[in-house]
Amino acid sequence: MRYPEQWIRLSPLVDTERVELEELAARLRARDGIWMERVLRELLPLVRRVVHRLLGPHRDREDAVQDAMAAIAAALYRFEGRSSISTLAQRITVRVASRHYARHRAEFGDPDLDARALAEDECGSCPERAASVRQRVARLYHHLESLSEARRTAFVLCVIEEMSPTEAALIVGCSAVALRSRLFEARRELDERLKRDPVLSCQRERLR
Amino acid sequence: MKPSEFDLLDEIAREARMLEPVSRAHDDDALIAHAALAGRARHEAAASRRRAVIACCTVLGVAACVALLWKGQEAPAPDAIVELTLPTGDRLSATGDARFDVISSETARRVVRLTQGAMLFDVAPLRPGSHFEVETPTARIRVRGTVFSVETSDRGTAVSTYEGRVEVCVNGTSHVLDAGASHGAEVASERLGLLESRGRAAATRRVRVSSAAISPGEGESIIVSRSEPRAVGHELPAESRGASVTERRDGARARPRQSQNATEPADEGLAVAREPSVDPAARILEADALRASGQLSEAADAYEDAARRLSGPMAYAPAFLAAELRLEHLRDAAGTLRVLDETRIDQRGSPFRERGLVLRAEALDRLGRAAELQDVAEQYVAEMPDGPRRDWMRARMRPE
Repeated sequence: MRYPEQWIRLSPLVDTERVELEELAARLRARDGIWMERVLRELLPLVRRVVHRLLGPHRDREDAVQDAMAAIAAALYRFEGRSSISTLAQRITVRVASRHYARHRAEFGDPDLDARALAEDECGSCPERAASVRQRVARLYHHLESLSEARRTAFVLCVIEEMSPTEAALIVGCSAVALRSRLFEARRELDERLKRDPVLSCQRERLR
Repeated sequence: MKPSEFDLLDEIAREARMLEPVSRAHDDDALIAHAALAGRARHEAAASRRRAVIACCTVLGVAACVALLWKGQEAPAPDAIVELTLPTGDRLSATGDARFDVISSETARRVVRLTQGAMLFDVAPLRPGSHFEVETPTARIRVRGTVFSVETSDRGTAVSTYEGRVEVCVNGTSHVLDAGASHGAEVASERLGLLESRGRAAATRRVRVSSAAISPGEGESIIVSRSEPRAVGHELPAESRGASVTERRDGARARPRQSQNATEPADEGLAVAREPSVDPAARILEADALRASGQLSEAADAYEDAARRLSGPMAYAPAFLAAELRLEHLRDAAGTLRVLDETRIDQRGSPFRERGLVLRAEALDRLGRAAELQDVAEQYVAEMPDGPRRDWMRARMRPE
């Protein structure tokens, strides 16, 4: 069977992508070791992106990526196809990222450090604009630290990753109603904090 | 239009979305390869843990089945063999569908009631006045220490004797069975066949060991009085009680044994059958098998036993194996020294001098006996300056 050379960027609940990945998963279940690396390679961008979104600018996020990938590889041996692989991968990634966050919580939250840590991320705009973007994003993550882990995850998945509450609930393992509630509370709390942020408040004035 | 409260938040969230993590192909290759390996290792470790849990549950399940069988409840598969040993040393082997109860396990009176299926009885020697009895719905079998099997069903009771003698009482009629004889063969089924090989093995073991447990003089022939196992409790002709058999044995095949009770040589012979094999070569073989099966403590005991029964250089090899097992695997430094002291395998002139000194030094080191360790280390370095453990020994010599 020929597989397309060009893989489509993954996102959950998209039939085309799921079919291709599930074919790989079927090969995995047949214990074809070659396909494990193919599946992992396909999942890596998704995992990395979710980790970076969840942990924000932190120097150890590549460690979390590595841990998540190893956990996904172990889980793939028992994968039975009851959900999509990308959902499985995201679920595991969220769990691993939460553990890393809880473990290194004390190290998070310096907005200046955060901005520098974002320096490697591509921004796609002119350097001055890029610096401003990184600073604002660093401020956002600084305030995300004040949220509970559940609200933080809900905000990152739904607002930054643009998942629907239903999709996010599937990954987090709660009801859609609960996730919507967490999202609402997260947005309300963040907005209160942004209002009081001295760096961002002048930008808020500009938008008025 | 007035910007909503959430506009700034959404704006910044959109900017956060624009930030894409950078990946490097070279680093990604390494990351993926590592993840694949780590994932397989975790999976295999988890699978191993699951297998261990399953094995543990299986063991518990088998134990539960044995317990149920012991209580005469629902039995495992008919062709399975379940083994039990009574506190008195009697070994019972039962087919999977056997139903039986141990009515009494007292030393003087052992009674087993077999209501269904087949069992093999390897009965420990009985003291005078004691007896072993098997009851079935249709028969009663009484023995004085022997190997025999019994099968009972609604068609009747079948008995086979592999060693010694039993008396079978059926409907008031008594039948005496010598080794190799059977009663009720017409009602026997394949169940007795399942036990036959075990019965023959047990009988062979008894005969071989009891024939070895006899005092020789070199080149002398000796006379052994051996009481035939006889049934007690049921009426026997008076002249058959206390009957003895006299036989001559070639001294070249006999081996020394001190008999404490000259009136019961048969009991002593059978008691020897309960001991581990007295043939040191067989004992070494037994120790090798125990070691291979992971029963290291039993293996060390068997090697030591073999070493004690041998003399001179022949004892060195099992002694060394015993000492090494105790030190390396059983962490028994004191036991190691005891073996070395008893067997002296590390004495001058022994082919195990170097290995023995190393074992002694390591044992002393673990016991913290520094002064003795220094002596041993100095001996080693003086005699074996190029020995493989010279550096280790030098580090433990007395400082100059």
